[in-house]
Amino acid sequence: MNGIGAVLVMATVVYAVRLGGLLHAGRSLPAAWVRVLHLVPVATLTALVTISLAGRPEEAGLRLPAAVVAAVVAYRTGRAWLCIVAGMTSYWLLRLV
Amino acid sequence: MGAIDVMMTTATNGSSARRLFVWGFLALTPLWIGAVPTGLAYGLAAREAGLTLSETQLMSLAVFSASAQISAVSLIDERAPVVMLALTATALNAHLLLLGLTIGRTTRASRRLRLAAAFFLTDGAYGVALSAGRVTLPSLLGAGISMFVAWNIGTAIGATAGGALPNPRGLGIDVIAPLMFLVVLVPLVRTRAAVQAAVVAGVSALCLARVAPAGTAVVGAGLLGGIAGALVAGRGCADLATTIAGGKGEAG
Repeated sequence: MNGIGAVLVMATVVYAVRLGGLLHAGRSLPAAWVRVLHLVPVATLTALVTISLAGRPEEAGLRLPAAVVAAVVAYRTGRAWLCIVAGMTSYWLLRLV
Repeated sequence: MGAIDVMMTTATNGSSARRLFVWGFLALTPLWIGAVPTGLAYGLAAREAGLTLSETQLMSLAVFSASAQISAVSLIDERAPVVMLALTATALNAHLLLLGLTIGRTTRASRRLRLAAAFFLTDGAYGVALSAGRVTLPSLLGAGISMFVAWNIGTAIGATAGGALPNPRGLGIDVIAPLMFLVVLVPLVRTRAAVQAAVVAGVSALCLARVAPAGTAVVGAGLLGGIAGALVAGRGCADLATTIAGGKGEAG
């Protein structure tokens, strides 16, 4: 499948998830399902971060510290752009060392 | 009269709906300062991963989900199949199903307005709409469209700039992807259940990545982490579950 096809498939599933709740507001989900659905994004994001960082082991000494700096900035400020700038700046500075 | 006007007029009083829509759009504009640079970063990362200018922009126009789009860029870089991109996007947006249930219970609107509002449903738009005290679909739609505009402006700038860079991988532009995941992830890890979910997912991802492709490892670790976190869900998560499952609705 080409890139446009992949985009359209993704668009369809994301829209279906968003629409599902709005259209079926009268239904109740079991509490266990609610807990899992609430936590799956957290777990999936963590898995993505882990695999992204572990995918380039030769650069672990640069990427891990940069990720730590970015995480601290995200925690302290909550500002997305500042987190990305801090992380990228740390990464580039470490490459110069 | 435009399509949005028609939808909102059928939902409630037309002028009131229009005011709510405009209010939602304007109330979200302070968040543009975050949305535009983040969209720009996505644009750069997507071009670095090999997406064309049109594919990069189309994804922001059609998918409109920062986490899903960045995960796709990251997984495309790992040559993951489309089904894994779709499953990961679904997992990353699972909480929007719950948000939709909550909003749907506390608002009355036409089916057409729900169809439109669903496309623009994001955490940021919901937060802004809720800041008025009660979520309405016109204000949610206005806030969502405001975010959509900012996100796509940022994408256009980043995708164009990314195409002009001579050697983006040499500059380490792909580091942007995990940083953007952290932007979304860090504010979510506030409860014991979330910490448990994150730890299990991180360890599972490392283990699964040794025996399976990246996309499979992400989806598998996401499910394992979500289930593990739910098993130890503390009081806060239990409250959320009770609220949504019981139909009381936190937005009301």
